[in-house]
Amino acid sequence: MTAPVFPFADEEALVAALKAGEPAAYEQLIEQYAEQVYRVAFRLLQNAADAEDALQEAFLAVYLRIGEFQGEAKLSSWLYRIVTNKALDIIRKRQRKTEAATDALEDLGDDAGEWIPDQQATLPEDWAERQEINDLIAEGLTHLSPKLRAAFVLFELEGLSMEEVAAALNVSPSAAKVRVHRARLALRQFLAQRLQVEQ
Amino acid sequence: MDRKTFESLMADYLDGLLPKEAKKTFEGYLQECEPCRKALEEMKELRAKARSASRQPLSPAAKLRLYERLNEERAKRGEPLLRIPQALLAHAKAKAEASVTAMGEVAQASGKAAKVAGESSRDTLQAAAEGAKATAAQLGKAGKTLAEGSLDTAREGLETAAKVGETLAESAEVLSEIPEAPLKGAVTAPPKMAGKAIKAGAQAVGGAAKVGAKLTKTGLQTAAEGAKAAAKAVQSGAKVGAEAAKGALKTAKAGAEVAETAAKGVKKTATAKPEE
Repeated sequence: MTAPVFPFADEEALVAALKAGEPAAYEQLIEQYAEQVYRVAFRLLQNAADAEDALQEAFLAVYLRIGEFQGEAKLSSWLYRIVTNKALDIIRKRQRKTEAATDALEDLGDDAGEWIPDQQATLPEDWAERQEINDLIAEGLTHLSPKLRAAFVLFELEGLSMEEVAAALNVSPSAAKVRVHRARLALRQFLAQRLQVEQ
Repeated sequence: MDRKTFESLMADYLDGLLPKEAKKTFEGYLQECEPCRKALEEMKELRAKARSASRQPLSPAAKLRLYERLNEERAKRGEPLLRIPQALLAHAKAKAEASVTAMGEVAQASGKAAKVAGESSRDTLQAAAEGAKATAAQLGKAGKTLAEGSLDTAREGLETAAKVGETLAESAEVLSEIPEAPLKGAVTAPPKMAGKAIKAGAQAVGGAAKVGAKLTKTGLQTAAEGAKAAAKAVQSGAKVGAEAAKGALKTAKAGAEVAETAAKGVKKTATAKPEE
């Protein structure tokens, strides 16, 4: 499959055209970024309807606030930040109770300095082959606190660099790194507990 | 290196951020620590699984809605609209056509189901009407029995009264003979009178017994007719119930066919694609 040819070859030209309100620039923006913006939203929200809302809100925000974009970060980083914030707003509104549970997971992450592998709840040998593992991981993601979930999704699942994650979350790269690692530990702990209970 | 240091470096190692020398030391420690190796593998696998677990593509319909949303805002500001890619429009058209076809099929199935429900109701009503007619006929018969029995009883009572009256009249004859032959009358009248009284009494008792027997017979007959009417009503009710159950089964089957058609329609619409 041949890659689509876009009228604006580089990001600088695209941003200029977006600021000028050119339809072709917004068409390119959608064709270039809608898929990954939706994917981030869905990974954060685990719900297609909410993810679509976040997607639309993110692109509308670009249309309405493109004048604020100064080019200090990549356009994609800015998009990621907008959609992450929109998604986190939705999560905070609908999952206040879950945050109490995820605080516990986050606190566990706070003990990471004391973590010793052989004292952790263990994952069964065949855990990765278990039929239910994908559902459990998706569930585990919803149990992460919003800030850990966002860091994990952007870094681990979207493959952004730590700097890009930091820019998207408006934190320092070291803070982003800590969140990613704590999210991994919390997710692993969640899986170990659930798989042990099922055994 | 100890386990605490290992843990603190694991994140950077997984993310490819360890400097060359630190990476070498880390991997050396990894070779000596089996639980550490296990933990590292689990983390790698978790990352891979998490990527596949939450994958969800953006549907053409959702993308089309995104274009439409932006165009809505642009139209408010009098700005030129975005051109929606032909492929998205063709996809939307294919979905719409599949949806219309599916709706037609569901409407057809629903019409059929409604017809089945109507026919079933009609059969149930007919059974109910027949049952009501049969029960009414039986009850009418019981009522007739009661009326006839009552009439018969009344007649018996009158006859008895007439007989008793006759006997009493005979007694009066006896009394009327006394003045003609007072002495004879004084001797013969009392026994004759007593005899007449006994006869009248016996007649009254006999008549009363006959009336009582007739009443009992009528009562029994009426009760029997009433019981027959009740039995008929139960029989009719059972027949109506059976018809209703049969009808409900037919209607449920028709309803299931509608649901199946709708599910097929949803699937066809979901997988509808524009022609190549």
